[in-house]
Amino acid sequence: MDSLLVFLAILLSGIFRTSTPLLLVSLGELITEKSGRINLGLEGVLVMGALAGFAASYWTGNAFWGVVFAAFIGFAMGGLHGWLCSYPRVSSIAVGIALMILGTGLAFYLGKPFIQPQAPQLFALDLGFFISHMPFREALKINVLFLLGIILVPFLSWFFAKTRWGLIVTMCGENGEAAHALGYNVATIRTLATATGGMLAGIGGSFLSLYYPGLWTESLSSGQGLLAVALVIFSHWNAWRAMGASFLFGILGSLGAGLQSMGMSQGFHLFNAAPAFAGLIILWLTSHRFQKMRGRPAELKVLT
Amino acid sequence: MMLAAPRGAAFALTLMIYGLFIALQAHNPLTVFNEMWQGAFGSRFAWSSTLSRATPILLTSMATLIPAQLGLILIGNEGVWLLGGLTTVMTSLLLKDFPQPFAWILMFLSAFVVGGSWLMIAGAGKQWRDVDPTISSLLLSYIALACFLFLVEGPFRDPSSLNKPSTYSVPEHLRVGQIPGLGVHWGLVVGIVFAVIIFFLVYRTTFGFQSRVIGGNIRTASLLGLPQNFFILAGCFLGGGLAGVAGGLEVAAIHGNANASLYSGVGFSGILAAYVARHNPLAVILVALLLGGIESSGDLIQRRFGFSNASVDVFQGLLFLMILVAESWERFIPVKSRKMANDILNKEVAS
Repeated sequence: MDSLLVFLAILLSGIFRTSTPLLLVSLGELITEKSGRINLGLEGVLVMGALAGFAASYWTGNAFWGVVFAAFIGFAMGGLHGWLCSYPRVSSIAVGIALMILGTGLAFYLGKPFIQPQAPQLFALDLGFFISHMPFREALKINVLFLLGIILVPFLSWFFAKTRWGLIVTMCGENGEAAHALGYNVATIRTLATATGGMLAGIGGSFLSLYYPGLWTESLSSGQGLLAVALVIFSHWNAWRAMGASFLFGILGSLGAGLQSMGMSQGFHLFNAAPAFAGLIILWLTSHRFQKMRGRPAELKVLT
Repeated sequence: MMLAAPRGAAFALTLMIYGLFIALQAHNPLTVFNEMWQGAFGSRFAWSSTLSRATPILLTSMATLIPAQLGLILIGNEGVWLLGGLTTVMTSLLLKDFPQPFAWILMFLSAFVVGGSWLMIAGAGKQWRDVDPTISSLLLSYIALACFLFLVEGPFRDPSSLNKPSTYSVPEHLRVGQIPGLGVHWGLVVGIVFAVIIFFLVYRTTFGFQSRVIGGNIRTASLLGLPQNFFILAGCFLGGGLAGVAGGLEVAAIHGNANASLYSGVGFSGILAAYVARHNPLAVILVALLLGGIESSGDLIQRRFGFSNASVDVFQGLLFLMILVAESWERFIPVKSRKMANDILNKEVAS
């Protein structure tokens, strides 16, 4: 009975912990794709953000500056992607792959001195303070970045549907020529959208190194950055659905740890891949051959 | 010649930025570059190290290069490479009493079939459900990695491998030997032969021409009545198969058994090679040589200057980014010489 409770607590913590970086990265990718570009390099941005956050927190002794620095690095890397893709004939998919290789390589290279030390960690709200069962109490600790993600969801829905700037970004994604004809600089708007997406991915990365698991290692990310791209596609470019999918993937991602707590260590690697596997299945089930995917920005040509 | 200019400029720019990166760490870039050259092409030993690193890059690049002819961007090379390596070990263990040539053929054929089938999942998803092949191939790669680690540390583990879980070793008589005098295993020949075959297949046969029609304009292909499903699946199978054979060769010639050290980013270098060569099967031989040289130079500067091995990834990532940006510099080439170069290219392809 007790082990079952621990198992459930770990699944619950999947929502609050494992899903947070996924949520932030997928919201970032959502902004990028709404403007008509795709950034596959968020995996690299996530890892760089994790390192930047850890390093800045270690240097300044304050995790807040870690998050700020991670956001800045993410913004710069996203901006680099957006800027390079503004030139003619430059493929945004390929630049994304290059950014993935460069970002992880640079992070591993610069991150060697940070493998040992400890850095100040992020603050978490103890929502389960009234529960005596320790695993549950731990699971209910809610990090500020999780709250940031949750607040962003309604904000982004409102932003893209109701605000002037949101509609301009959406227009760039739906019909770049129309936006150009109205006098907007499409390339600049897309670059800004990609940079903002990178910023959120960087913050997502800082969650990994500053809260959970809360250290810097080279195996910190297990493909969350990439999974988030897939997640945006089958959430039909809708922030609410992206949130639901992040929670689902967070639970799946903590399944391995949960089963391990019940003494099932066999197949640990297979459970680690459960989110990727589920992602593939969901993509397969939600796509249609002769039908434009609902909500898909028309300028997103690479997804053919 | 003129068309190569943007690429040369991209390479020079990469060296400059990387030089800055080195200078920031209080080393003289020129000394480091000289060491890198020595480590890559400076001696007999360096050449053999470069060539044996270029071989897997060349073969894994096919998993991106061949589907690219059909208009598919697939980046699942790493996963296919791992599965190919594992399959080869397991088949060799089953076949240890069989005659050598027969066992070899089956070992690599099984790696080919497993690798090809794995990548075909991405192609099938594209054709029947319109699943984005780039993302599905990368997800497949993660799944392959998980299956690989599970099998190596679980059911297929040699109980005597304590610190580093590994499979049983390929029987001695089924190992792939070295080319006499070169210090490189026979995989190099396999890689070059296949690159040439693929070149002829793509640019000199009807099959290749039809593939490029499908890759170029899907409507034209439909009007011509080309069986797209067949072409897409065949392309994925061929590309994935060759990447699988690459993993098999690596295991049978170098590692001896399959373990986690096979997961080393070769597949990503393969993607890079395919892009830098613009998916040209002959050009990719030279690019693989260059990338093999960069990786082999990484060893030397790691020992000499204490750079970590990730510096190779930094260099490769920078190079990749610059080469991609160089695509847009072609507009600076005068139209006249651009046209001339295109004419020569077209004549070559048409004849």
